Amino acid sequence: MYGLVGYLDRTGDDHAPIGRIALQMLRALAPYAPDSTGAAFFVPKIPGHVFVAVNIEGDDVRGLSGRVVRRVGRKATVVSSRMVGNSLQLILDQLDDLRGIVDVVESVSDVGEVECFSMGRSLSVIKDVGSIEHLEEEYALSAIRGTHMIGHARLATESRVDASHAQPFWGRPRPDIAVAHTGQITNYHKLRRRFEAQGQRFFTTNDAEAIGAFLALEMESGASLEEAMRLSLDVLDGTFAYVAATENQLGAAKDLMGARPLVIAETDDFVVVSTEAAAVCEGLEQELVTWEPDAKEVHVWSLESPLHRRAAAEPR
Amino acid sequence: MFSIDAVKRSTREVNRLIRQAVAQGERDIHVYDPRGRHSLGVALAEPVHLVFAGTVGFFCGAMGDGPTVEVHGSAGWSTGEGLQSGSVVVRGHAGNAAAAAMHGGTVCVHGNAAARTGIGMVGGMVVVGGNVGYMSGFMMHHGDLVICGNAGERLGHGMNGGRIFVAGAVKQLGDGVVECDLTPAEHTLVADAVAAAGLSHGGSFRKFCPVDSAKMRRDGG
Repeated sequence: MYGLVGYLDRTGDDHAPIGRIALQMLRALAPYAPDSTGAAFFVPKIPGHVFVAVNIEGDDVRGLSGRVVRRVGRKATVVSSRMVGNSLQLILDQLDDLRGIVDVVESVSDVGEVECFSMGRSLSVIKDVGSIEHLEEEYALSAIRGTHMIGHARLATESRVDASHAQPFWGRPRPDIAVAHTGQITNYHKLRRRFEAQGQRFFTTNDAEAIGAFLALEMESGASLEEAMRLSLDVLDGTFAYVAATENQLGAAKDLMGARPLVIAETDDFVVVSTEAAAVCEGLEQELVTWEPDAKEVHVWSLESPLHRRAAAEPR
Repeated sequence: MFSIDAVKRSTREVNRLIRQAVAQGERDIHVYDPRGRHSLGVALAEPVHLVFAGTVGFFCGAMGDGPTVEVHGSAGWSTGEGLQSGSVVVRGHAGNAAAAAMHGGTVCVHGNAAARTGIGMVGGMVVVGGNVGYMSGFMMHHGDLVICGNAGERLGHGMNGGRIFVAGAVKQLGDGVVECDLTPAEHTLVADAVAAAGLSHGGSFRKFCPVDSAKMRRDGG
């Protein structure tokens, strides 16, 4: 558990400084969450291009990454491949089977050493053990530009500390969806069994992964992000708050008892969400009036409707 | 007036500067740019006027005994928790559990207050200019909770004392809570509290109290 952040730019600028904002917001949470840090960035689309972030573990990271690139190269044009730490960041073109590429990548290892952290035309998940400062040093977050992001700083309580268990989680298999969560999902094991029976693959025992799976499966069935998030509050047990993002939306939800913090601030130019006002104010470098949703509230903001502002989301 | 710039200062540094200023006899202290830091202005036992010019985090003004704390922004969870006397005024919105377990004094939120406002109140008064969230007044023992806007689900759930006054709509009452008639003195009490806070309200106030106390009143107990 610990803190989460989210930001959506409403100015229509697809080169907003979302990396710098993530850095500053997550810095405010860092003192309480030393174990791991991550963010899901939605960067400008390039026609035809697909972004794939691959985490590689084990004794032969270099060898495995080479095999991934070669196998992917048989299915698509590899525009670029870059290894940062244990993360292989691919940009692909001329890819016929968007979802099939994940199986191609992950079949390189049959013991789970190769995991897609994200896949999509806009989404790029960067996460690792350690603090936000480590992430900035390794991945130069502050240089990333785009439209919106969600992020998480983790204090591990119930599962392993490694890059795979860090948040946000990609909502596989659907492209361009990510989720970050704080709290506990108490019916996690039951949900996981259900999702696995539906063919979903899990790489961790982190309950946030199940939220991503739930949203992705619901949206695959035709639900909107908002519909899926509202339904999640009837399906997920426990005390939690979470943020989710797709290629054009940012959402925030609070559990039935409102037992986890979540604050929101909105201006004409942006929406910002966090578990703490400190992250909101530090992230945007200004004093902002924050407000807290009530229990069982879901709020979703879209890039396409920048005028969906506070009035529509006024608490009761 | 004594000024403290909170930017680039830790919570501990800001609180140490506040306490030093109080010890030196300062009675009007302004903290600028608090940037949502937690636990600011906690456990002050002097009648000082402390202003936070911006948003604060959790527990602001908690456990005070005499200070007047003003937040010119929003506040996080547990604002004014355990207040003994004095006041905490939030000009923006407040997070969950504002005025939790307060014993005396006044907590005033000009905007909305989130879930469980006034949880476990033992005394004092809470005035909210906007709406309150889920389970406000949960397990109240004593004191008054005045809500100018609407109240969420399970209002006053499990309360065994105290009074809740609501001018707007009530989504759902908690178990063991009933609506009662306001006495003339209570009409005056609520009107005075709202006016003193500089707030206004749209409708007539309704009063909610524990079923046992309502029954005792009817039975002349």
